[in-house]
Amino acid sequence: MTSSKRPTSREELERIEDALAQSILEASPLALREDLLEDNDDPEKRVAEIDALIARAKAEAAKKRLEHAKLELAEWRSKSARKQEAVPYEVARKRFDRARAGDAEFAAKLTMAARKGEGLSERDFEGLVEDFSDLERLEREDSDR
Amino acid sequence: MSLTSSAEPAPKRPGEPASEHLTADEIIAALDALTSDDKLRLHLIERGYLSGTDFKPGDLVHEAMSRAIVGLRRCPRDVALMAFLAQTMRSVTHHERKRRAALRRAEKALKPGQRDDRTPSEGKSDDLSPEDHLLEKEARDLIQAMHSHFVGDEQAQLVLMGWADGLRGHDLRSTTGLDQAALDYAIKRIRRRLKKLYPNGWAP
Repeated sequence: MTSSKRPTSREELERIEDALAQSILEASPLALREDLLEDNDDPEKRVAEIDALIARAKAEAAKKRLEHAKLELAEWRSKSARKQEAVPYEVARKRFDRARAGDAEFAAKLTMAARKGEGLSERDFEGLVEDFSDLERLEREDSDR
Repeated sequence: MSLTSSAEPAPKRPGEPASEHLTADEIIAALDALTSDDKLRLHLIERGYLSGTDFKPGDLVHEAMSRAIVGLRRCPRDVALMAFLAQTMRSVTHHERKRRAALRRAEKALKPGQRDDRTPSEGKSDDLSPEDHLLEKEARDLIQAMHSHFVGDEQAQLVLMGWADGLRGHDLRSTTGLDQAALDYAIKRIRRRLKKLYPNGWAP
């Protein structure tokens, strides 16, 4: 024996609605026009309204696609610029050493830290060189604007 | 495609290849290829689904088309675009009606002296939310009203009852005892009568 749950009134109404929609999908062209003309509705006016809605939906979608394409292009350009700006580590390190040599206070602090056993590891140093390189690039970008 | 399908396709990422679904360009081409009759069908279906929502005429059709183009709802290749758009309008409408019912319920609860006096035992089904109870009552009243408009038209009443039970095609003909021509005629009478009685849509 199967136990089928009794449908709610809402489900029943939805089924009626769906059947009505289905009957419209299946109605003959003549019946469709009669449906409208019975209420003194103008089929040609309704067709023109739907045409306008299609045109609007297409225009809005085209705008969204264009905006999306612009965002993607900007992102690609930004990534591409970052790659082009990337400086080999050895070059960046030499530049960093040169800048460091001109900063007596910074050099003294590093020496002091090394004596206390708190010096930078090689990895810390690499990170510092990369940050320095990024800073140089950002400064260049600022001065280009 | 049946209008009762409730499968909600996952949102499409822009640029994602759509092997099983129509692409945006294909949707646009299909929209451009709609006949005047198809456009009248969209208008009439929208008119039926508009009631119980805040949408204005044109909004539902526009929403269905836009969702299809941008891929918020994806049209499977084996589904006719017209059926897909009708299904989308149905889905948007149902969501909107539920949202409005929840809002009304909340507003009622906030008004002093208007608390919900229904005890759980009075509820027809305890697993229904308060807004579901509200929609349930409205639906029950409307179905009764629909039937009352066809007093004296037994065929139309039988078709309405069959629809409410989910019957279509052969099952509906078999249950109502109507041949296809008589069934088509009864359906036409129902559609036109309800359109006159409920010019702003089929549901409350």
